[in-house]
Amino acid sequence: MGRYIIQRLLLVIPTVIVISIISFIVIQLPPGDFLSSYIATLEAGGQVVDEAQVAALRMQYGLGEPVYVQYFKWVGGIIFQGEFGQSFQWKRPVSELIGERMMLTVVLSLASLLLVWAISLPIGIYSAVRQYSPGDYFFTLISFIGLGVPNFLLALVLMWLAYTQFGMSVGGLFSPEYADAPWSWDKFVDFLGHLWIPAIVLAIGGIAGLIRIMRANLLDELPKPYVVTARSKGMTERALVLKYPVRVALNPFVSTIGWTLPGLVSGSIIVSVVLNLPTTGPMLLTALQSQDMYLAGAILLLLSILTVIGTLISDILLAWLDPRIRFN
Amino acid sequence: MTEPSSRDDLLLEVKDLRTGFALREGYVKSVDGASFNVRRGETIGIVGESGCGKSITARSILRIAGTNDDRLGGEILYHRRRGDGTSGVVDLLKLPSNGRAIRSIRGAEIAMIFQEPMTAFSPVHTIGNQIIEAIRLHQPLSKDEARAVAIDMLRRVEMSNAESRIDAYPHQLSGGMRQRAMIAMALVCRPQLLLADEPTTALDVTTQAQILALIRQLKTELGMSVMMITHDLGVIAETAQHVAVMYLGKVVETADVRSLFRDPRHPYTRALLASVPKLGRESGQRLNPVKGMVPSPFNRPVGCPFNTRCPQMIPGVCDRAMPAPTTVGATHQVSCFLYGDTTTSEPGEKAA
Amino acid sequence: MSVATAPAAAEGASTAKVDINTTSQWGLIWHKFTRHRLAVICGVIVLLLYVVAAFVEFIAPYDPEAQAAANAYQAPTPIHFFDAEGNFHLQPFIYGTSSKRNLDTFELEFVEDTSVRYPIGLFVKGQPYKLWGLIPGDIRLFGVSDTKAQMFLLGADRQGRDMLSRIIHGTRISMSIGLVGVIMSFFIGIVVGGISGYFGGVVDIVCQRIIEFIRSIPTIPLWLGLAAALPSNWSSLQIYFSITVILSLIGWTGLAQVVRGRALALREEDFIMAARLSGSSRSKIIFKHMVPSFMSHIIAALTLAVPEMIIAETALSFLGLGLRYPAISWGVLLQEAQNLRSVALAPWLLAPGAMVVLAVLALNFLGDGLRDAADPYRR
Repeated sequence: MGRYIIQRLLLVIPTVIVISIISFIVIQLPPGDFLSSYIATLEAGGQVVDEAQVAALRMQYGLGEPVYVQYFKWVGGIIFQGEFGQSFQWKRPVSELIGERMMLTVVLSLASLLLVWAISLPIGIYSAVRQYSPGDYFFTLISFIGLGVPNFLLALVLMWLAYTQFGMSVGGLFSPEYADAPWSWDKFVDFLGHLWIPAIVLAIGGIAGLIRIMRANLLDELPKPYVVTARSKGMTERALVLKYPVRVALNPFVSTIGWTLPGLVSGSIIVSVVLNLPTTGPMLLTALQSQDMYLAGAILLLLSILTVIGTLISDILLAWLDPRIRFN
Repeated sequence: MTEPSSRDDLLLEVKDLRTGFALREGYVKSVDGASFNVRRGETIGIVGESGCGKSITARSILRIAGTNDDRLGGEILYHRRRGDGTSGVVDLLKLPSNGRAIRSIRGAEIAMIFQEPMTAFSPVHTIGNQIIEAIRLHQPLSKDEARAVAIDMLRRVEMSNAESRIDAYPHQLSGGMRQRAMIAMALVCRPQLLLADEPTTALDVTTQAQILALIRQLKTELGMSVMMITHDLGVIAETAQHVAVMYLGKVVETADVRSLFRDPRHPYTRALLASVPKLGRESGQRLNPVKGMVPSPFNRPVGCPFNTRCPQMIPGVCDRAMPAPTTVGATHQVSCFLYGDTTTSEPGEKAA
Repeated sequence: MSVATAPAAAEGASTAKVDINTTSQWGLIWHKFTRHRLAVICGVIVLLLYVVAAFVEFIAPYDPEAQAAANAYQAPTPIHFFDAEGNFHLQPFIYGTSSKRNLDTFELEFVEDTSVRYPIGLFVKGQPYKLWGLIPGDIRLFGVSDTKAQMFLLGADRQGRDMLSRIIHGTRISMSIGLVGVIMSFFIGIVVGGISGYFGGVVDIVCQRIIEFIRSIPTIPLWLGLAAALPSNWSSLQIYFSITVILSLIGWTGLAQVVRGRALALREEDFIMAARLSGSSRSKIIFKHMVPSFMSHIIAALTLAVPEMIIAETALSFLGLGLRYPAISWGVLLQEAQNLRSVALAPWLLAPGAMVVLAVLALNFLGDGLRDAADPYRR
């Protein structure tokens, strides 16, 4: 298994390289470069732009040079100095801007992932063991609804309901008094109170999908011979279902974590915009719209790396769970 | 089916067992009247073509035939002898399915081994884990004690390197070793009856011989009975003392093994024996398969199940009613109108 | 008794006409599919949606751009069968509404004028249009023939435009983008997946790595990035096609996996070897044996890919990065719902969302049914 882990780790490196290239290309795509539109904005505002200043800026970002030089300057800055560049929009270092937001994105995604797991696993098992029961039909119905309703739509509807029925405005992750305050226990509690709505909204799609997967996998395993063997030894039904077919059905279930996390990270972007959460989503949107390329690039890169790490962890988890992979 | 010899060496009496399943396509009677006895210390062979219901018969004994086994009929009388000297007779079919009573019998007093050991073991647990579980389900041993017992059993089934192999996963063992592990798992609680469902069908011939020898040896050591289910007459000849022949869910003939091979009475048994290729035949001679094909269990023929293929079928008799078992020898019974004209009265059928 | 009747009898309980032993593969697929009632119903729904998409100009009661400030945020017009005196009329009708500004709340209030009935009819003469931008006409599927009354079956938006007509018009773009995007994904996916599966070995490994790279990049940020890169001065049509290209550039990986899986499995199939041994030409093997074997899986995978595209386009347009005015798609319509207060005032602004859900659910069920039927020999 050690060899498997090393293999996967080695694979991560070229993946990250390709991702960085793609991120860079994406942010370079909009025509023109930021500097010229920045200068245009300044001049329109009546400010005089110093030639030396412009030249200095150009040098700093290598804006006049060929694309691959710019790329290496950017990547080099990140790797060797942790320097993500400057946000043109906010006139602050990118790392300052995205630090807290990135962390909140991670927390939100992880919270949703935990919810997805905690809910879909037992329901999936129940649905398979009690196939065709009313409970099974009920959960199947919910799964299909969860699959059909896009999460940002769900967020919209929830917000609307909360506003019209309860007079609450449910956006944001913090109450106004904690928004810019330093972290404290009270702030943490307030955060948790706000976190569960976006976490559920994000989790619903994942829950729906995973219930179906777990149910299908378990239904495949229940009639298999090793289950009969366990029964013939004298085990109780509950013990043998949990120990054997559930364990085997868990494998493909775990392998879906790999794709659930990127989906959650991805989905959190639009939901964050709708619910007005201070995570990376809204910031990415405005950065893209105003061509704030270093900010956008950094967010793209970090989100992708987050995804890759998630996939890696899921692959390792899967290998650990399945001795057939572990010992090969 | 009473036997002239003493009754107290009877271990299991199967009387008119019926097992059916309600499927989407209709109701299937997999076992439709099977009766035979198993004596202590004896190997009984259940032989028949694929689909004749022999596997379901064995599973019905342990009540693991299906998920919905309220469609059982008949009696399975188990003559229990406990370690403390007490004894009693239990009708296994009357026990609540998956209740404590039947679960205490499973594995501990009646155990089963299966045809395909690769799929019969869980792929994600070590064989040690699965054997130790079988021990601790029925005996109050600690994990270490159970492990020692497991290793000892693995040695008994002639598995080399038992101490290290006990921590192996099923896919890491060869077919023969897996089957040995399964035998170890079944016998680890010293059951009185071992149900062996085609244990050698998936193995190559040399391994097959080894496994059969192993089963025979352990049977003597542990003083247990064996029900050997197979379609291979050679295996029957080698291992069984008594034989029951099944066709389409019914036992058509029971006899001791010598009588069966020397003097088969039922036309189906005769056809089976005649279809085995024999050494010494001139080359170029055709084989003698049993004519026709097994009818679908959804579409059972009326009357004797073999009447559609029987070379000695009596029209008007064989396709009207089921023949009852007739005694034709000391330990030989046949269900055929050629030897007697009593019929069984089946629900829904008129007695002739 | 012959054996041939036995399997037929086994199936006899469920179908009367199909003889399993002699039906062709497509026949079996169709038979298995139609047993799935839900999938069939959804198939009909999807078909209806595409019919609507084809004839939007005819089906919508009003021109989607017809604005009237006096009708801003008007609530859905109730349809009546009973008039104010309690008489029943077979033909449904509406009442005219007049608006008044409430001087306390400054909100527009709409009051029904029950004195005049305006019956709703079929094939009424309405505002003129050009079907597909080419064929002029003015007969609309249903509506109120008297132009004094406006029928807002799903209410009106901020500019007084009929929501129902706008939603119907949105159907064309939302449903077709999914289709076009999926067709593009299909070509890329089939080529890459086919090569990967057919040649196996190193080629397969390389293709798989590429697919993994692409899948490990979170899609939405990538879409956002690519969509933001589109120049804002492009025409609606250019943007439409660029969006489909963007969506399919990322979406093809799923299809490629399906194709590769089938191709790999097929290589091992005995019937392919048997065909080769019996002397079939290569093209005959491909078209007569291999293609039918995986076509059904491809169709199922395609059907399941369409709802993803629809959601993607809706999301992008909702954020303002996809299609823009004057193009109408459900996502563009949902932009108006971004404002919570507007939605509180006029909940019918969320109606395009309901259409998205309907389309996505119907396509998902249909795709599920197709996938189950795709391999009729399984089980």
